[in-house]
Amino acid sequence: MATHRRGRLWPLLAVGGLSVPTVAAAQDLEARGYEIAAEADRRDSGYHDITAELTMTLRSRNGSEHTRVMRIKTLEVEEDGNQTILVFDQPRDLQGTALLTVGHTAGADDQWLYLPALRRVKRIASGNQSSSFMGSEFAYEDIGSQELGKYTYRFLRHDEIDGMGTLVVERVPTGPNSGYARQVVWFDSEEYRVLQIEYYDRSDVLLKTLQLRGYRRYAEAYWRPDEMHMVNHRTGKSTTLRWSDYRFGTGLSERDFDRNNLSRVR
Amino acid sequence: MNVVGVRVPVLLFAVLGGVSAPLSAQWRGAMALEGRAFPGIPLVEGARRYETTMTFSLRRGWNWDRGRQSLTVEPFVRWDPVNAERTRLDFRDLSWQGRWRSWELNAGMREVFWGVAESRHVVDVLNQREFVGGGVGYGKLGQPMVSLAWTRSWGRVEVFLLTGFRERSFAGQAGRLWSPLSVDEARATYESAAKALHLDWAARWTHAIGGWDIGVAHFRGTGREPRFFLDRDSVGRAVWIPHYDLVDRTSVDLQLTTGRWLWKLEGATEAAPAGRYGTIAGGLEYAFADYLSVFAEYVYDSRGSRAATSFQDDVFLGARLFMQAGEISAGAFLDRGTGNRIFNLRAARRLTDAFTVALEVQVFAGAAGREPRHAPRQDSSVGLTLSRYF
Repeated sequence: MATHRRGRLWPLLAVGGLSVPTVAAAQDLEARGYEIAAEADRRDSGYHDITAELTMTLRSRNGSEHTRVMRIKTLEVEEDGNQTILVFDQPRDLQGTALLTVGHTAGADDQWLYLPALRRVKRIASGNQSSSFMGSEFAYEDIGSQELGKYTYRFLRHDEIDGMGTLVVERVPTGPNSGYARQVVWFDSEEYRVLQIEYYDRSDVLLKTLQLRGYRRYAEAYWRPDEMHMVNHRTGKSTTLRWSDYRFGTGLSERDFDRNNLSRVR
Repeated sequence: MNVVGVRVPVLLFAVLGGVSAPLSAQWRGAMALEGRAFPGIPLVEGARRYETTMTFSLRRGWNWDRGRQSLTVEPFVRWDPVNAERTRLDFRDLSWQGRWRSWELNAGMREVFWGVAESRHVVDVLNQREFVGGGVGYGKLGQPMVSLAWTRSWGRVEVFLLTGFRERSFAGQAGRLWSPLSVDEARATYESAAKALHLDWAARWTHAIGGWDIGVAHFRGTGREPRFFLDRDSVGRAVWIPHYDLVDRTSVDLQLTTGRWLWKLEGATEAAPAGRYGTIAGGLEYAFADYLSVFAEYVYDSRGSRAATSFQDDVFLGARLFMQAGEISAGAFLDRGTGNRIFNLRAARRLTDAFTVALEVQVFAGAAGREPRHAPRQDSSVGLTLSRYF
């Protein structure tokens, strides 16, 4: 908890312009980067569970579009990764298809897929966190739970996005299976919301940019964007996630994330 | 071509498919129109070389008691305007569920799936299967059952009581995909004096630990797979009479998921009046990505040529590709004994949010003589299905 308390001070210092780079800067910048990420994490913890609706629009370079509509339920799990269920509503031939992800802070997540036509639950391969999430420009690691320990951090600079002051932090994935050399994250300096992320591939070339817009506050505590827009600079493809009907703390439990009852998820 | 057989279903599909008013939000539905052609010479005089099928299904669930209790209703109708034996009204689900703490009670008509393999489902025994083919949701018949499950840290134990056994249905003389001789379902015989009302039971333990998914099960009751005896009908023609034995079937299914490799094994041993036998299906899957997998499996049945299936010593190779606009899957069974081969291809494409079209091709290729009991795999066919989802 000590780190959290310090975390609240760091941005004050930053805003006050007291953070003049010194010779000891390298270590300071790392500590500061970590504090910012930890503060963002702290502000976004403790919601227990979330349900929401998600519309995913995939756009190709020539402008053709595919849309997916799904419902999502997430349960915070202490000491381990979150558990998530995605249930498809559209396209309608996939209606009722459900994906259960049991996240782990260490090692690969476990995933089960429910196929309603066969009444069948299948464990599926989920070893590859750098692979695309359902053909979108989001990789599994982009949308999975962002545990603090998954990266090392370094504070880069102050910046502005849409007139909002931001803290720019570079983070380097610690796991060997990430598809990225590093990411650059823009947190707004008031609420520690992520406004933008740049993803650099393994050869350190800018691959994708994610922009998060339309933040709203839910349950008087948690900020969530209405829209997440990811552009792949290499392919020209993009994916937009539109979120709606957010509900926090609806009283879900592990029983709602039971792989034997994916047919009855509503 | 037969006017009723083709035009009426097509017209019906056109009218209902054009209905744009959405169903009440909680109802989900699907409607499919399927045409299937059989290019080969029929095994039976009078068998059709073309069939049209319409299927309808609806689904709705109700929750109450803070989500602890639920009721699910899913009626299913298949209509073949020419062959009444392929027409069926059924419930894929008509069941109540209650969940309290670590207990779960289900009662009603349900479909239950057990197992992990892609090629054959040797541990999946609760529901009867049908041999009439075609359409969304074909393959299984709803089974009345009561089940109680208990979930603990060491896994889930579920006990089933089943009655109201359902006989395997066949497409009849006019249908395809069976045998030169027809099956006289009305004269089916049972080992149990209670016949279809015999009380069957089953128990299953499942657990997921690390990369392992484990299932162990036992079934005691009227076996879903009939044996056939030759007899004559009233006019002296040879017919098959199905006979249903009481069996004890013990099974294990295992899957090990390690990165992109998925190892799968299903095995069952069954004690029946005709003797004990064993059957296995297993192999591996390699997932290049979540949208592309290839499979290699082996299927074995110790009854050999006495098995009620010809998948007794076969290698299965398959692949599945998901795309934004649809999916393609292909598979091949290679019989190591007879050299017979069977190829399946299914390609489905999404036309709009609500419509899909699918092409299904099954090709039988083999030099060895036809195996009458195994006819379902010996008829090549091409099918086209148009589906509308609500």
